Amino acid sequence: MKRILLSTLPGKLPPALALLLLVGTILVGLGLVVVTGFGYLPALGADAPSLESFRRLFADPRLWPSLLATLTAGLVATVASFLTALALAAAFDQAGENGQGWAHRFAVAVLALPHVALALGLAFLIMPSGWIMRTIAQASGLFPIPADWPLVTDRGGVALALGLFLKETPFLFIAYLTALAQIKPASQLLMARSLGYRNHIAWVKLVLPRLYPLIRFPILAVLAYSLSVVDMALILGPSTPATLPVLILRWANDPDLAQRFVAAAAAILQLLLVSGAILLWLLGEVVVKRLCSAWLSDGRRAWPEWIAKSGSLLLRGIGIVVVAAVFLSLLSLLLWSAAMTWRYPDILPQAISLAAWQRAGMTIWQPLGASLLLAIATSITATVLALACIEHEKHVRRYLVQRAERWLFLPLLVPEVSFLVGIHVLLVLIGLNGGWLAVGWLHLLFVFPYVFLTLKAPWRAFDLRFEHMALALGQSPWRVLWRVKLPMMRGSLAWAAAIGGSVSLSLYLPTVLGGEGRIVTLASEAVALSAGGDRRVVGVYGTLQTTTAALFFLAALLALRHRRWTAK
Amino acid sequence: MTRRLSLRGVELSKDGRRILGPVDCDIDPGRPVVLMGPSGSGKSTLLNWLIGVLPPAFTARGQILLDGVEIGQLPIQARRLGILFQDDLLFPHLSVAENLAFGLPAGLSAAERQSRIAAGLAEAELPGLGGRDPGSLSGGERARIALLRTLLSEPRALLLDEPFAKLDVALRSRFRAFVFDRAAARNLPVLLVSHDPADAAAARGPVISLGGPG
Repeated sequence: MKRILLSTLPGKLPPALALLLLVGTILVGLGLVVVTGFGYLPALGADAPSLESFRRLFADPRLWPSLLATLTAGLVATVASFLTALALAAAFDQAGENGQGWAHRFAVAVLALPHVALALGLAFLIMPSGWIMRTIAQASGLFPIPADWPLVTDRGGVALALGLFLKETPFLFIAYLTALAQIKPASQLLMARSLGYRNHIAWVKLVLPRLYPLIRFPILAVLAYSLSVVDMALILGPSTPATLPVLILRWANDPDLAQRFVAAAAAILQLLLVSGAILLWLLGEVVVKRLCSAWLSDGRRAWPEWIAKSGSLLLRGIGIVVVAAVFLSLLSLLLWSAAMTWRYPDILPQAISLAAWQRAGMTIWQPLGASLLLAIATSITATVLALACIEHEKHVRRYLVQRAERWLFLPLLVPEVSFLVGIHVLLVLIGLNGGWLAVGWLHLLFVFPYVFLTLKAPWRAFDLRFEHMALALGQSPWRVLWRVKLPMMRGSLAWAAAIGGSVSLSLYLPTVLGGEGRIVTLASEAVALSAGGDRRVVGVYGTLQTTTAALFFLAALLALRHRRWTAK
Repeated sequence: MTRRLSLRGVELSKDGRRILGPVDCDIDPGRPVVLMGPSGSGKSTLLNWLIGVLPPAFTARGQILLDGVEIGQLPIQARRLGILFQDDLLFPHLSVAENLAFGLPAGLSAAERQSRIAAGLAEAELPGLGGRDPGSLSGGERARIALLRTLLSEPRALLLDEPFAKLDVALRSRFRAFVFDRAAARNLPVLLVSHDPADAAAARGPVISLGGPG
């Protein structure tokens, strides 16, 4: 007899659609980047493959300094956030539940914070006339006028690395705590302590080797992201020359169509840069493993006292700096948005007014509306699609699910600027460039993986017997989904949708490449304004972007908390 | 009307290896059949297959006959086999009355639905609990509501997946008696899977022993 499946829902379509949407688009984008980079694009009149665009790329005097700044900022940010997040996770793991909830909530909040808003606030904080320098000036009497130092957009990319570090440490911290919860190290640590090991060294020798394979992917994603970031680099990164991803964007947007070929060649270089960095990291893993294998079992049970002490002090210091920098950045956005006069070494504005808000009020509705429309439309689409994909899983063998799922991580590893430049070429070819459909499609590429990853765990944890019971009671599959599963899962759905909305809200590159300046969102407008220098309006945009993201999560929390029954 | 649930040559396989069967049996109302076996013997999977939700890792062969009619090809909601699991699985977002109403067939008038729910609650000796949150009920109350919900869906047979295992001992035999009693009153064939010999003794029907995997 044939196997009977409960496949009344049109099952196979959504996963196929999702993979096509995601993987298909990215592969097409990469393919177009490659052919364009090698000078073949008949639509633009180039039909003879050549290395001309590479020659022009390498002849550009900006290339090498740009590559160097890109690499330094990206690698420094990755290594620093990796080590810090690891140390913090270890410290909180050993401290137990005490304080972990608070740190976890802070990290989730930073994760939801749009990159652009954080970068703008950080620029306000560290620039020569920012809060830090004002405090130094007040305390020391030095710097009667703002110092002439390039503290933001410095050549070495330090400000950019700092911005990336602030954003990525919380992300990795959450990933590590999640992985730690899976391996449950407490009993092993207890055993090690009974053998005379001190806590810290036991953690590094016993827990870390088991933890690392589980946390490898988030680190590689952070590495790829740090090397390819555009929005934060436009605000915090060096400007003469800019980092490679920023240069690619400029070439791709150049009115001179010939520059599109250089953009594509540079996008290939970017791809190689990221692949090379990932390979380097993996190689580093092997080396560290070799070097440390003997050390793991050499029987040494404690660090020298001074290392343990200064390490823990340093960690505390870094933790405080991260938290303070995030809060002060947001606060300076808010203060600037409401400052009437704020003369240089004063710590606080002399007068507060809503003039900037009123001025922005005339022009802000359009970008706010566009941001909200894109965020709501793409997060709902992504949630429905993700739901349909995960719903279909129960009819499929586990290994097939895992195999398909691996592809979902693609957009997190491939540098977005590389495939987006190719997709932009595609959009031009099919005449979708500069339209809502194009921007929505590109947003969905980034919103969907996050929504899927958020929804996956709670959806799989759902007790399928509830469904079986409801079906056995004689209800149709659609009714069971509608009346039983969706209501029971509404908290997770709301949370995933909020994540999706906040991702869309923070997207810069897909907006400018898809919208070609005709569709303007809070993110793209804030980046554009940051070059202009009206701090009050920039403050308004940054504050508004942050508030909107916060509102998404507030709405989800309300849905999560909402219980029909009060305790009796 | 007499009802009879029959299994003919039923086998379960996982990855091409047979893990259960072949099972042949006829189940008549008032004489519950008990499938005894250790955990991992595939007995819960067998019930899943009977109601129509076999996990994709498994394959099954054989026939399911209800009053001599093959129902193995019907979609799950058309089979009308009621089931109870180890957990009561009351829907937490619905009230007790709404849980019961969820089980009722469609097409009844509102008044008819109300009166069936009230009669059900009275039968479970839980009158007046309709407006309550299932989470506020005791374990015994929840178990009885779960049974009632399944019975109100007018099943043609009752499948029991160790529904007594999680109840405490004093409650267990009372609830077991209640289930067999209500099923007999409705003339339902009952198939019980269990690893508790006390279940088999209380059922006073045929017992089929399953080995482990192999």
